Amino acid sequence: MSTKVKVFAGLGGLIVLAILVNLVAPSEGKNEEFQPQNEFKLDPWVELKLGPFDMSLNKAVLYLVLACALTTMAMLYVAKRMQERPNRVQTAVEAAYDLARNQITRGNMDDKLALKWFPFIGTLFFFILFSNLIGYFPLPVNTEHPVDILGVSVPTFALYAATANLSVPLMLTLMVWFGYHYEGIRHQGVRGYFKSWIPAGTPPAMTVPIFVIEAISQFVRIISLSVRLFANILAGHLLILFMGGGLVVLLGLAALGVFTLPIAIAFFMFEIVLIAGLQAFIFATLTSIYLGGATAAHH
Amino acid sequence: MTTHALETHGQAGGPGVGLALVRYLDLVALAAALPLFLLADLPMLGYTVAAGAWLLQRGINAFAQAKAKASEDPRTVVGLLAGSMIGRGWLTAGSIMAVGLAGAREDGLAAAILCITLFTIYFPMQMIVRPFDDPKARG
Repeated sequence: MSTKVKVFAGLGGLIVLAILVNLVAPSEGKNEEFQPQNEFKLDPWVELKLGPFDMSLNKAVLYLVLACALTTMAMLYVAKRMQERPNRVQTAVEAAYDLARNQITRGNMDDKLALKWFPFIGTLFFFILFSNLIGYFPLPVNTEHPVDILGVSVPTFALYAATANLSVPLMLTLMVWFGYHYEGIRHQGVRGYFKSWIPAGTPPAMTVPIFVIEAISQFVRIISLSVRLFANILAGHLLILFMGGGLVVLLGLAALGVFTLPIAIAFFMFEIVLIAGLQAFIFATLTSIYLGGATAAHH
Repeated sequence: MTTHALETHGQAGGPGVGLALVRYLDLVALAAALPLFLLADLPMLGYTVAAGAWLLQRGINAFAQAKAKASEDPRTVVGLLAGSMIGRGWLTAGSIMAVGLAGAREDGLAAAILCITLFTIYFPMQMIVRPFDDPKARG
């Protein structure tokens, strides 16, 4: 059978399946009850208010704790079982460690600075990686629609990630932002650091405009670094949510699921295999580049 | 980093009972859910269909993995694995929908929750177990 015939047979099969599903479960009309945005709503589980600050415990906090615990446990587990002839787990962790140390950190700054900042950058990399990864496992965190089991109200399963909430990437970004400015000033002094924002050879008349543009770009980094991580993870979760059943429920059209479910599975694999690691890599690499740039004498 | 080895065990440990338990933890959970369904008077039709669909998709996965392992053509391997993944998704989702339509909505809900619970256990466990697997023996 040629590829063309196989493709047409597959599409034909899909259409037949969709028709069959539509006959068994015809359209129920639009569903006004299901609010997809509520999947990302943070209901306080334990209310904690410290003056003007809402420090309530919610599912984002749970995901943060899980990511911290998993990062620590995984690294300690491997570190305590180091072998001369590494097994495949050790090889995989060593490869990730090597990537964080040599490619991400040492590739963007001098060795002395790399030695100092590697623990921070490595932790960022692994924490974001684990945080992104656990975001793709359905966990019982949806307190909006609980189910009753033996009289106990159990939350239903949902996909969520701490990094799909802007406040988490923003806090990580602010740590990076203040960290690299601190390191830049410590390295070059206040005057020297701000002077390093202006490229060598800039005509005197252009110094002020260039400085202003550079200052703006420094602040824009807060947005770009945090929103890149947040938006990528949120978009992935939204795609999985809508393709994996959200659209079917919203439109009340079961037959649509025949087409959207394979797309959801493809997105799920794409996110977990590529995006989770790639976003952690990008965040850590940019952190390293910013630190390296802040300590370099000139652009 | 290898040269900084803290301990030298010589040989990498082979798969043990613990690893097998982790690998089949979803099936243990499936068995453990049965008394819970009975005690809590949860819809047994939902349990039966979810359990059947889950076991069937596990069987399909094992079959596709074995076929993929036997094949040397990368396109066949990708086709088999991707096809089985999508097919298993349809099978599970279709079973949940069918039981919801044929029985009561509670049956469908129970089947959905059980299948998602099993997936939550199965998927991370496979990620944990995978690096311990001998590539030649993986199936």
